[in-house]
Amino acid sequence: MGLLRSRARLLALVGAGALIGVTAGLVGGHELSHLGQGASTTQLTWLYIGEDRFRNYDFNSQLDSATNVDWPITILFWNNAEVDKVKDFYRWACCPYPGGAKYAYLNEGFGDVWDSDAGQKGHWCPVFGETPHMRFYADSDDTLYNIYWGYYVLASTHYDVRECGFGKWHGDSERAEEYFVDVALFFGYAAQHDWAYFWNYEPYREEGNHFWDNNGWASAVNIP
Amino acid sequence: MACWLRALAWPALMLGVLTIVGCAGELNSQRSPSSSGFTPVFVLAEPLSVAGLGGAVSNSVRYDLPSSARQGGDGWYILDVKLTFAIHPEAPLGAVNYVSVSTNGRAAAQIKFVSDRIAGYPAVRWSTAELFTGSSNGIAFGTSLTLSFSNYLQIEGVRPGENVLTLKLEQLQGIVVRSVTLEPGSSVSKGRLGPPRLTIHANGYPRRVKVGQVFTVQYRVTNEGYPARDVGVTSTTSGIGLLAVGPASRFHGWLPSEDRGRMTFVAIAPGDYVVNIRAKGATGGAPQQRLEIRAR
Repeated sequence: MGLLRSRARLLALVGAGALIGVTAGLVGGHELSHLGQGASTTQLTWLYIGEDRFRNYDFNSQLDSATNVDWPITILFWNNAEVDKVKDFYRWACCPYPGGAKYAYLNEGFGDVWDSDAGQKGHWCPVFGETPHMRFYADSDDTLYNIYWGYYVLASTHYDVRECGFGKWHGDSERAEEYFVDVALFFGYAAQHDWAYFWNYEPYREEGNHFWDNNGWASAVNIP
Repeated sequence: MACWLRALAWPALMLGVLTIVGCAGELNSQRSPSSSGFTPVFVLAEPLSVAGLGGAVSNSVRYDLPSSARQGGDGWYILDVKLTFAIHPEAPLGAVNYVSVSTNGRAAAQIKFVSDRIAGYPAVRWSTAELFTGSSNGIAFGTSLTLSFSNYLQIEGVRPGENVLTLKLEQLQGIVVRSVTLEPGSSVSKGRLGPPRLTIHANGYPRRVKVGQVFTVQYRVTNEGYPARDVGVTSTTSGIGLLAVGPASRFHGWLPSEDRGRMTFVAIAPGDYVVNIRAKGATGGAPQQRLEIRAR
């Protein structure tokens, strides 16, 4: 993991440069994404790795705006990852149900492109309790490649709480990230919690039913 | 037999299916790395095969690299292989398999296979991504498929001394690829050029212009690595009062090292404008150049 750590530092440095262009966010809205409206952040930026770049949040729709974000990118699946391959594992391991589609904005060459994914979650729509939900992103061929991360896929995480019950809310990206990485570790994948800083720190705050909480450090899971 | 001739033999083509690519596909056929300054440092002498009945199977071979070997250090290391696949004729529809080739556990080739039916005939869709051409995909009919594949190794896929090359077949949700063989002659090669890396620099433009004045912006696109594929240089303006005169984009099938060009604009209304010029190719783009121009 030593070289991976150095890559993390490289990414962090590049991210710092990119932060110059951060757009200030506005706070507003109540039902947010469930009324077709995104949440807001002040941390939206591009992250660069090799010849690739990607936004450090996913979006509620295909609008690249700091007032249209959904959740932070919190996990990198790297080395030999591919969207269907990773989804197949989580579908089997913990999370057989799809969710609603959201969007990532990334670039592996042919300009900035949108990718959508519904992700995998543990329950269809809990009336009581909660379910973890992760969405997976790459470009049209379902994987991205560079010499630093190999074939990689990006993911955002959160919990859906009482989604079909009373008092629903969504959030806790950090806790959901830990859950999905622990699932990978349990089944023998090499993974590292909080591996690289992705510049999407979100202290606890409530924005309608969007409950933010993320430490800004993304985890890495090696798909062999 | 030529690829197109074999394709012609398939009834599906007679039914109007035009997407026959699956015979002896050449993922990087437009430019072979071996003819572009890459020299083999390890050549596979015997076939390396894996066959599976579900799950993941792999087979490995060891090879040595010089004590100075480091990706991007003493040169750039690539995988340059030829793979032959035995396709299951009755694969369950939608089943997904992966074939990968890695060095020291770091994948440099990943090819995805999804079983399909086209015009009533069983077919397999394959796709992959790499740093020579960006991405490739195709459709294969029949029970055999051969692909050539080249890609830059991961950084940790190169180390001094002993290295391990591994061929892996992963059969998820059913068997699509029954077996795969890495053909003799497949190699790890070394060359001088790294992955394509574009930069763009605009100069020679006026910061202030008069309304009605036609002016040009000169730019220079450089590529520090292997010739970049499908490179487009495009310009956009911030307002309707500043227009491109003539083409606002320029396209290169391949960009070896450098391109110089110019684009012409005219201001038709006073204002403060921004011209963004950007180069992007199949394997990566360059940060755009932002030019501020005031028209009075």
